[in-house]
Amino acid sequence: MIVKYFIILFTAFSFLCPSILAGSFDDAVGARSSALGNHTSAISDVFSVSNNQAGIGFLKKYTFGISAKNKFLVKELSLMDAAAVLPTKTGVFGLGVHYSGTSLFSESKIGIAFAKSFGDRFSFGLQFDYLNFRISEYGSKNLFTFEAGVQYFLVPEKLLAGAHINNPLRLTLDEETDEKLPTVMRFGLNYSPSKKVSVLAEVEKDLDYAPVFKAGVEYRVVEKLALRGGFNANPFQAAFGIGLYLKNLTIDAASLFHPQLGVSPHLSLTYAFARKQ
Amino acid sequence: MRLRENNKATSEASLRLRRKAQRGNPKFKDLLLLDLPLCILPKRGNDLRSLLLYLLFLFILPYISLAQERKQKPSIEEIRDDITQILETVSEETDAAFNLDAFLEQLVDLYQKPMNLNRASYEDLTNLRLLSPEQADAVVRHREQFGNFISIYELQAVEYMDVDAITRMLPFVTVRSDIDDYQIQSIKQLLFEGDFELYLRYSQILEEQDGYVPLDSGETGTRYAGNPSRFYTRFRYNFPNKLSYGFTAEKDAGEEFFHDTQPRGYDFYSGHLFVRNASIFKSIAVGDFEAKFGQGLIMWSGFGFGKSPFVTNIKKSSEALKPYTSVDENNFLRGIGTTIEAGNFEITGFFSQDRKDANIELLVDTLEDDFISQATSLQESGLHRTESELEDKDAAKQLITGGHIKFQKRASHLALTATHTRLDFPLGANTSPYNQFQFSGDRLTNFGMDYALLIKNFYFFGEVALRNNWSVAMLYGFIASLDPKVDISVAYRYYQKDYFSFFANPFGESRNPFNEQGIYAGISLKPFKKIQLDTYIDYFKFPWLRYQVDAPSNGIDFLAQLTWKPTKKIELYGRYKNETKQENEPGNTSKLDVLADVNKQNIRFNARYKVSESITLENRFEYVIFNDGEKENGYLIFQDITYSALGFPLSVSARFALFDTKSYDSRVYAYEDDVLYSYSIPGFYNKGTRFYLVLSYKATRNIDLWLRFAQAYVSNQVTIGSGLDEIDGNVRNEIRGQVRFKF
Repeated sequence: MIVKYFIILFTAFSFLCPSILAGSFDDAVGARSSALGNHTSAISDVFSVSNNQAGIGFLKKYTFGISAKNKFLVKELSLMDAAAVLPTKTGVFGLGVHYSGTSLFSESKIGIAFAKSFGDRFSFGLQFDYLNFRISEYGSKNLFTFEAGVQYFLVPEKLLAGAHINNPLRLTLDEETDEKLPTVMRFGLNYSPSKKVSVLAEVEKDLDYAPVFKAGVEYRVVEKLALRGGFNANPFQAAFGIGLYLKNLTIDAASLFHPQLGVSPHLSLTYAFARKQ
Repeated sequence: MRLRENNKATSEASLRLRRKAQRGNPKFKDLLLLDLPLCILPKRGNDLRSLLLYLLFLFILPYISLAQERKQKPSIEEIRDDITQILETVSEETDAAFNLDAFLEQLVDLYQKPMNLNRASYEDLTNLRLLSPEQADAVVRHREQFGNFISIYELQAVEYMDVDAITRMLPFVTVRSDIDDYQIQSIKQLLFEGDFELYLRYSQILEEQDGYVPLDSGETGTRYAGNPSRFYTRFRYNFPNKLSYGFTAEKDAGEEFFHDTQPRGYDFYSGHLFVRNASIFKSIAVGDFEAKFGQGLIMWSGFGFGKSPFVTNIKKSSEALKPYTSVDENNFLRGIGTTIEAGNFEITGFFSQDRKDANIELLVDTLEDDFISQATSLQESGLHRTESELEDKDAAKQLITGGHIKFQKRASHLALTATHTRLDFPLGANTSPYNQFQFSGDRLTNFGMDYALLIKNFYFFGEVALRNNWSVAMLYGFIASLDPKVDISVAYRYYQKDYFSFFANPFGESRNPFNEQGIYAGISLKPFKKIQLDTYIDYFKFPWLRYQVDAPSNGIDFLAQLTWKPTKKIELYGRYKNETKQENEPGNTSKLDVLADVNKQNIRFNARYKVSESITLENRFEYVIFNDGEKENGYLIFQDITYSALGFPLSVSARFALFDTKSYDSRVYAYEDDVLYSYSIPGFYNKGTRFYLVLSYKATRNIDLWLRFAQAYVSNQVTIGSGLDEIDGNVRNEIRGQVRFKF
């Protein structure tokens, strides 16, 4: 039953994605990631479907999430994502939908992910992506690519390491103009000395750009509230956010501050269905 | 978890204490092995005191080794190490000489006369950076809940305390009952039973510098008036927590002595009389003193910590008034001041009138056909060697009155500050674009509010200050201990381009709080017992032009330090620092200046090894990469050896260093050992070697002697120094001697 509702809900949302968004495929999905300075590789939540597929390998519940982000308060730079996670006996399946742009220009992505954990320490994830780029009155282009990631606990429950690569085959969008689909690799650590505190660090390298360093701290002040802060260096961007943990629902909000470009708000909701099995 | 009620049944309390201890801190793990024999616990109804005593007994067991260390007084070295790290960073940042002897002195004072944990206020505990705010607050709270400390080992039962903090503070604290503490039987005791100390110091550069070479007949130029020797005399009487008086006098190299331009002998005299804890007067200052309020946006004379490898050390906290005993000739107040304590209120007022060095010029007023005098700038070097330096000496009179009212409850407070400054010559209007918003005129009023608020493990602090032109400067921040293994700090600053206060010295990239905005975040991690990782990042903007920066600019500063102490005898750390700022592009020949990024990276590896009880070795390798469009490198490598044995009167400290840098831009700073209360952090550049030797000898109970010899050699230059300090040769030798009489 639950699965059925779940699929209906998800499909409904996928079609409802408003067309006022724009962005890229390499932005952090989920306000929690944003608040931690765009950390994506060593976090395990529903948005790992888009961030680092290995992260869903540790999830045990049907989970569904939506994420909306606006970059620098520019209407055209809005990103919308939806993610779903379905744990099964063979492994964990995930579905991710991304849309950004306007009716003039848009980028969208559908990804199907599979992740498997081996014991509680190691997880491996893979995703096949179907990308679509569309420019109004000009044409559109479709592309297949894939991404993959791993996560493993160096110290059980305390230190999680994660790595992720997007577009390892260095696919090009347009041979003539040599417009590339970015090839991005990330490596991160997530250190939790206690259940209340996590300290995260990540380095991100786009083949064509200088490396970006990221750090963030998450503090669970009380059971239901988490405070988060973080930053990116190179270019510099500060971030902070909160997370509200209600019964099955989690609400995350974040803001990123770029000294020249300004604020980027981010909101996401996660709903985890009561544990199956 | 915290013990809230005093009268809970003791056995329950003990269990909670234990639980707290086990949960709170890994150090208490040992305790689990010594399970509490509950049957011999004090019975219900006994007071908590006996329970605590009992617990203490158990706590002490795993700490016998600590107790032994205590007997040997684990030297001031460890603290000094921390301080030198801070200092080195500060030197790199500001590139300016600042005065630290007052700080060092307090530390040594405290070492010799440890503070009583049963009397220490929250301020006392945080003053010397031995404890974090929440730790200090917890100590005071603990005392309020359970009464006075019975033993120093009770500290282990205090919330937020860890072994590091306890070890760090052990040399400086003691536990006594109130009765034997500073109870003065008679005036005679107060006046004569404290410590008298007299310091005499002499130093000189042995090679002849240009400023001392007599002019040939017919030759014109500037020469120093006096000889190259430097004298320093200091006398101080100190009865801890009650009375301190004394004087300091100094003649810098090149200044005259009892002759012609210096008929009074020394160039600089400073004296103070300082009374503490006399009925409602918390302090009374007459003569020279320091005033430090809030976060330093209005008033913070003397040294203030800024960005350093101690990444969570960003909140300022100090007594309002302190005696001044140092030789910085400008950064202090001269007059009277007092702090009155009434209940939770603390009221400070002061008045200062002092002559400052300034360059005075006459301007023709074309309207009135008259002359106006104005000061073009205030000088801060304190050097009066040449005719022009002597002309500027004490040229402008500065009058400051101010007050500070503080409502305080342990670690939290709310306070108001106001100061008014007058100069007898107006500071001239600034004509360059970059300084046109800076202060000019002869009157300045500042007022503001500051606060600190401790909520659980979050300590918030901040200050807002205004100038009488309604420009504003503000600083907000917090430090928080999220976990015994994780401490964080965050600060935001916003200083408008036309804000100014003469004695401001707050947290920030530049020393004075104007034309700057920035956000700082630091985190200190102790993932394992012996490993600590400290890192901060600071992003800052200068919305207006600065000196040699002809456009609004910004920058970013990052530091990471990993410290590993595998055993008590070994300490290793690696540090990486990366700072980018913008400056006018060098070598730009067009009419219009454009900005270029200037990046400096420092990579340091430092190792300290205690070979035996008496011998310590230290090595360092530092590599600097400087890049302002053209890349250059610098290196420094040194070896230190220190010999200091208990019961043997002579101790020795020596260093040999090699440095090789392409130019001044890639210079490397390193702290150097010196005679007591003197210090130096030279920046090395060019190619050469450095050697120094410090001997310290305890001649009798009352007399200590120090001798220092230092040599700098550069191989790729034919001269050392610049201007009048230039030496015609590639070697510079310096000697320094000091004697201390103590009775």
